[in-house]
Amino acid sequence: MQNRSLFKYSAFGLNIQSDIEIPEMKETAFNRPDVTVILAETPGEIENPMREGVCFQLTETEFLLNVDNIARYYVADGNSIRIEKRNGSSFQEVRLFLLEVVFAALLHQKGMVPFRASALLDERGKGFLLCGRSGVGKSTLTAYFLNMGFRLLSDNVSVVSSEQGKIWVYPSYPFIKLWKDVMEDVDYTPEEGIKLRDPLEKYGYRIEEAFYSEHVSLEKVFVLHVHNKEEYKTEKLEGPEKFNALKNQTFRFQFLTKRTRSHHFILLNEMSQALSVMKVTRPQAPIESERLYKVIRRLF
Amino acid sequence: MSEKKNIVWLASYPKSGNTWFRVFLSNLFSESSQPASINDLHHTPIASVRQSFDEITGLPSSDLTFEEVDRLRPEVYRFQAKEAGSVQFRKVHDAYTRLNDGSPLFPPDVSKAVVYFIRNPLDVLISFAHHSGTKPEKMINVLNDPCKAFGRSAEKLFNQLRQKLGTWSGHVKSWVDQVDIPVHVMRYEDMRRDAFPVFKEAVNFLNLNVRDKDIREALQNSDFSLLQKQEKEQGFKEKMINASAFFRKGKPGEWRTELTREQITIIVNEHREMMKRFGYLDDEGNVVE
Repeated sequence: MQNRSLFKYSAFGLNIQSDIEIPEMKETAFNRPDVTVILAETPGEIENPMREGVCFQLTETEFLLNVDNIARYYVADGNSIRIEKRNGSSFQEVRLFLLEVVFAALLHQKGMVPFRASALLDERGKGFLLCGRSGVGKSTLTAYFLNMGFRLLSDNVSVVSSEQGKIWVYPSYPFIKLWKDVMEDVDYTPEEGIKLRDPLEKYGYRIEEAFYSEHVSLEKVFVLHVHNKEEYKTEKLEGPEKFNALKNQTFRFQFLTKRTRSHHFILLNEMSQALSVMKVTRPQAPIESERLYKVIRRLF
Repeated sequence: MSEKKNIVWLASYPKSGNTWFRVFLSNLFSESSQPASINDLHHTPIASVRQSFDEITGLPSSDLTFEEVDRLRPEVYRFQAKEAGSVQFRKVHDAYTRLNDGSPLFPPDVSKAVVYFIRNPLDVLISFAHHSGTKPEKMINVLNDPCKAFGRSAEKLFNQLRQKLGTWSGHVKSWVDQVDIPVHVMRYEDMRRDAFPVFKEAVNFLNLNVRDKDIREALQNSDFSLLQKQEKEQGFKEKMINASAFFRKGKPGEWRTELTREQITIIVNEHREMMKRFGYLDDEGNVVE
């Protein structure tokens, strides 16, 4: 007989019931979970995987991720996550990989599309995405937008869907992560945050009032790039370039399967038709959030 | 499962002719008679690209420690070797190092060969200083730093993985004296002086099935003045923001007019053995080239 203390959260538009506490997520009440997270033994490997990388394997309905010395994660049928925690790892480390990669795999299984993007709400109640590769400055810029009074739906991974002829973006959880070198630029300090993993100087911050917990209509996408020139450059993307820019921002594109790929391409097509997509290129590091913010604000 | 030995490492300390050779390869493999774009060196990506690591492992390298990333890098290269149908070229600025368990970072079991590019460290010093937007006197410490690494700060995220270089001499020694992977050394000064026989020797070493005519055409399309012209017209995405140009002068012997006697002495004293071994010092200890 199991005696679990269950935690209930809402994230990515899903009701999540968990064995482990996930303080980064927003607590909620519900009767039926969409997803369960349990601590349990996981398979050592998946039989006949249709795709595998160095640390993951997947089929249409299963996903296995091994993070040495931290945990092994098994995701099945788009509704369950099993975590086999390693001795010596902390729950904070376990959650670090759970919240982004493992949930991304689950979202892919469900046919929901995660983007490598932060999502914010503008003054008119419309959503917009700040996309780009790791290190391009999404989180830093997101922190700056929050300082300027915008509201947060998600940091780093955002779920987009198409319903009733509209494109929507869902909130994830009220938490952002920042590297120490950019904190000063956005008025954050290490003391206010939680160090996510030693020896990495990367900190997490809980966002309280500024978090917006309802899904909103998505209107604009800003795809961030860097170049080795001094100037800022903005381009409105159209046609295949627009489609490809959106496709390239899919979070963990390699987790798509035959079944989910067609749905994914339909969504990209709909997004391509409905949204305004702008490529914004900034000078190489260090990021200057205020200048970048002003460049983007002019595009609203 | 048998793995293929199909990765060729194009290894060098920075500013030693690696990119020029990569442009040559792009032209050699190009089906067009026009010069290949310096901004399309997709045949020879750097081995430390963060995005490739993340895609192949499925893990965010930004949440891993340097040691965890290094432990997985050999597996990433094995994966790439297995997936690839033909020879893969990878540019490398890391020194040839070993992990804590003694195994090499660059796995010999999937490595076909190494081409190692070497250049007089006195000229490297000047070129590297321009590349980094700093002065030669500041770069002396870099060339002499046994802990030199790119992307080694734990406080920020770089678009490449951490790469340990060590000192200039240590870097050279690590690659040319390793016995795990066949290595061919190309001296930058020889490449500049009489390119065809030097590039042909490398092509033969790599068993690339190409004609002399192809090598000559690829060299013509990789002429330094063409690279400078392309950079001036289109920019070069591998240039650092503080550098005036990536393909700047490229002339051997700039140290004669650019460095002070004291700066030359510091570098020579620190790197005497390797400089002598590769012909940058004569028997009397005078700098040549």
